[in-house]
Amino acid sequence: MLNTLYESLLALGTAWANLLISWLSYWMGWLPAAISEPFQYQFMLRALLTSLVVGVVCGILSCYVVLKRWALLGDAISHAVLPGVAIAYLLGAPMLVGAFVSGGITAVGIGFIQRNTRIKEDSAMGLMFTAMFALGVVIISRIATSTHLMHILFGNVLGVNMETLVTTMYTGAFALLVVLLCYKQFLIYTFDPTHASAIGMSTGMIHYGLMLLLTLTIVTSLETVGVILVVAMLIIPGATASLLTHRLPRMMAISVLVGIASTTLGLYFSFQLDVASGGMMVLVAFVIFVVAGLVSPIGPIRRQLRRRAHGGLEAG
Amino acid sequence: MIHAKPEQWVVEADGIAADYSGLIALEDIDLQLRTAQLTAIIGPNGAGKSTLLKLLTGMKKPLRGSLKVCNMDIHAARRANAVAYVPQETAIDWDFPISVRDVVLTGRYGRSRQAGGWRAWLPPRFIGSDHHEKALAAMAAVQVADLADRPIGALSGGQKKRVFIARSIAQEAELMLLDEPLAGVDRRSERIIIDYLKEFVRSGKSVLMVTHDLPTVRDCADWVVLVSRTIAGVGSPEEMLSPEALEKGYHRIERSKGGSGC
Repeated sequence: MLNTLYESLLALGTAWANLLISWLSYWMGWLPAAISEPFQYQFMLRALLTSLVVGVVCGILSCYVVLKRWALLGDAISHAVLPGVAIAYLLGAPMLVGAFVSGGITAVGIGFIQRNTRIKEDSAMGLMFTAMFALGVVIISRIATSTHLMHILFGNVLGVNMETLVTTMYTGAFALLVVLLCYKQFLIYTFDPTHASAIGMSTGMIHYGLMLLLTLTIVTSLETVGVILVVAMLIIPGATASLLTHRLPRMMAISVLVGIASTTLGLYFSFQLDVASGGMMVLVAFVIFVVAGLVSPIGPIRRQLRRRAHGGLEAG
Repeated sequence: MIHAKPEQWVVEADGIAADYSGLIALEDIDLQLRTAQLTAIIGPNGAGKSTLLKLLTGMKKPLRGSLKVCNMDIHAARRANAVAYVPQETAIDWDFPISVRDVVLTGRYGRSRQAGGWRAWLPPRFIGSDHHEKALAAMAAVQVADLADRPIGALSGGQKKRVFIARSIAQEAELMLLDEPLAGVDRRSERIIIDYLKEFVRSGKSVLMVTHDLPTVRDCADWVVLVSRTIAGVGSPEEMLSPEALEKGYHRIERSKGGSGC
């Protein structure tokens, strides 16, 4: 029963993925051959589609991570999913389930330490996530090769198979749907949690919901950028967007654009230069951040221009 | 003495205590507040004034005791949108990318959910024109309608306070809680805020505000609660702002602090 459901979902997802891939390869035909050249290969098209999904989902979630100041929490969860991923691999279970369980254990553990000891939140996080990460490293060193460990730690977008792509698409679509339907809850919770509580929302539910969504996003991006660098994709797009606008919907749109640009350009450069894709994606994202910082309304370039215009007026 | 009708009380607290990881912040709080009154909560720093507001928003669960708002337990009162909250200046991240209009509109979220239907699931832009109109009317009531499209961080202290009061107006609550509404506020905003609160009380609603501003309490409050870890006194402004009453309230905490140090 469950198996048939899984099979049919997989078949449906594969159909969608193939449709999108042929759509992508159609558009590639319009680009100059020099650019579209790597995308003749099926594995590159799969990688491109995966990167697009990851760029969109990370872009959206990144806004909440930046606004809620959850950068350290994101880092913690991304490291903490490692043992779950390893055990799931060992048992042949879906990676997502394992990651969820170990991410959940970490989140609960952090809360428990914080409530029952004198240890503050940042230390509690550092304690739990390094312990879980260490457990993951130990398990993997026992059951798998070091290449495998490298792939989990730093991603292996070129090796994405159809099944992983379909899972990524489903989890991505689910995350987007939740953000759309719970936009108001997440907005109030990040802006003014006391108001959320006063109008009858359950702040605990929203908190854990957002945290689960974060875990989902991290797992989605695991194959692409890997455990260590995924937190960069959860910080840089949102941080870049926050430099450029004062509206949340616009911030989300810009953040998604930055996410997509960095994953796709990163993929392209990593293929052309034959370097690690995850690292390249994060570097591209960082370059975009620096450029945005320079040209933003409060950045040094515009400030300099304003000063000059002002000075000119005074001189005149 | 005439027996009080139950609907007369907007807040009923019975034996409330609250703590922060074991440290008692409030103890033995027995309090009954009438509707249609502007009640001021005064007391020294760290006396538990803000904790009392947190209990009323459900942000904090009491250690023991029962707490009712408009004859409902806190959970039901929150669901009914009966309690509105105006935060302290320091409680908000002013760099948050949100416009004045959208802040005020968050006051309608609870109402939109109460009304139900598929629209309640949509992003704020699409929750329905009646909610947008109510938000606009609320902004007009405290004269921030012309700032609607400004980012919240670009406003002055007084304007920010008025925006959050507009959010509470939009919520159409029975009880408005305000944490230091007049701190860092310019004269004009102060006038607008106080005028609005008086009108709000005249229309049968209730206000509970935490403040350090004793002259304003003397001029505007109908009722004063002096808090220092417990209720140190309740009465009219004339009674509670007398030197003896203040001495008693502010002295208690000094003494209890000294005691815990030994």
